[in-house]
Amino acid sequence: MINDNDHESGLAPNLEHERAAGLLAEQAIEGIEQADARWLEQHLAGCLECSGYAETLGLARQALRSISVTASDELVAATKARVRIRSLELRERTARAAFVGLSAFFGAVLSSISLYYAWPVVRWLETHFELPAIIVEPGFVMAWFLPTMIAAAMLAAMRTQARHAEAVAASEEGSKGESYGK
Amino acid sequence: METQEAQIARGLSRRDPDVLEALIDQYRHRLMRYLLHMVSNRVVAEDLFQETWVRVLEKGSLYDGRTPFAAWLLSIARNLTIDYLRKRQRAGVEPINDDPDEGPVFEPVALTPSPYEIAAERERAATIAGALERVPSIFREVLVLRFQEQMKLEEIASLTGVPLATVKSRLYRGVAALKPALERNL
Repeated sequence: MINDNDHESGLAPNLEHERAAGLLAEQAIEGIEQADARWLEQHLAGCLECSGYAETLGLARQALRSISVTASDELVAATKARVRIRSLELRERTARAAFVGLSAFFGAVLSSISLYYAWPVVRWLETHFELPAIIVEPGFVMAWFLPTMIAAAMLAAMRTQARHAEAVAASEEGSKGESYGK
Repeated sequence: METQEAQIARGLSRRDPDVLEALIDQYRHRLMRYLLHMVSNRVVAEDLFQETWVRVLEKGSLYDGRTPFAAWLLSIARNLTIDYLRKRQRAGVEPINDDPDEGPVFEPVALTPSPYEIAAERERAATIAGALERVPSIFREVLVLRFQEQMKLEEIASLTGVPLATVKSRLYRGVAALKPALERNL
């Protein structure tokens, strides 16, 4: 049922209903200008179909707000426990990486200093047993720095693992967004 | 003076479990509501709820405190939900729905003491929830964020990672998709 006011805009009745439906959605989503609000109010006053839709839309919004969803206390307690455990794991991992890093650093420093004092022994062994310097000297240096190299390799492996995990997470996030729901 | 967001960012960068627990208490219902609307299944939503908070702990250092924490939290939940939905899609599993014997997923707030009003409200909420479930997820998400979470359009754009115009277009299409179901049922 449409009254005479509806045709004041000069639009055909079906176009007026379309305009009203569009304005109702716009009003709910981002708001409308005063002039449009006045026109809409006038139209709704005389149009049962559109005022019914407006009421339905209003009820839907109201019902959406009134829908209550609760996270149970058990779920919250389980989540907190899981977060605590994961927090401990992460702390341990950080502490382990720091320990390995420090070990590598001090290993390198101590190996370098002690090599200075050990070098005459290497020279003596070469001379005494007539060993080839080209093999003994690099071999000794390698053996001397072995603990440092092991610690450095462990640290590198831990960092690579962490970076890989970050890269996987980043690539997953990069591929989301626009493609979702299509 | 430090803002609440900055305090949260500081706590998260330290991976302080006490800060996390306070945040879980503060945002528990809001996060659950969002997840439940996205997946329409309580068991899955509860799994994602836990996973989201573990992810918040792990990625806490990435939160800079310049955006509202709720938006950042929901963006993490959203990414996990998308992962989950994609895996289901790849596995060729049927769309998820709760066990019909389980009753409604959503419960309306008891606004009035009248049993009739409570029943009517319950029925209306169930209708809305049912109508929402039939709306494609891409539109359902923005409807929930706009009308239930009362988020600004700009916040929704930032959360979903799409331009503002796309958010508006999804909202209009969402309302249009909701219209026939509402007219039938309300």
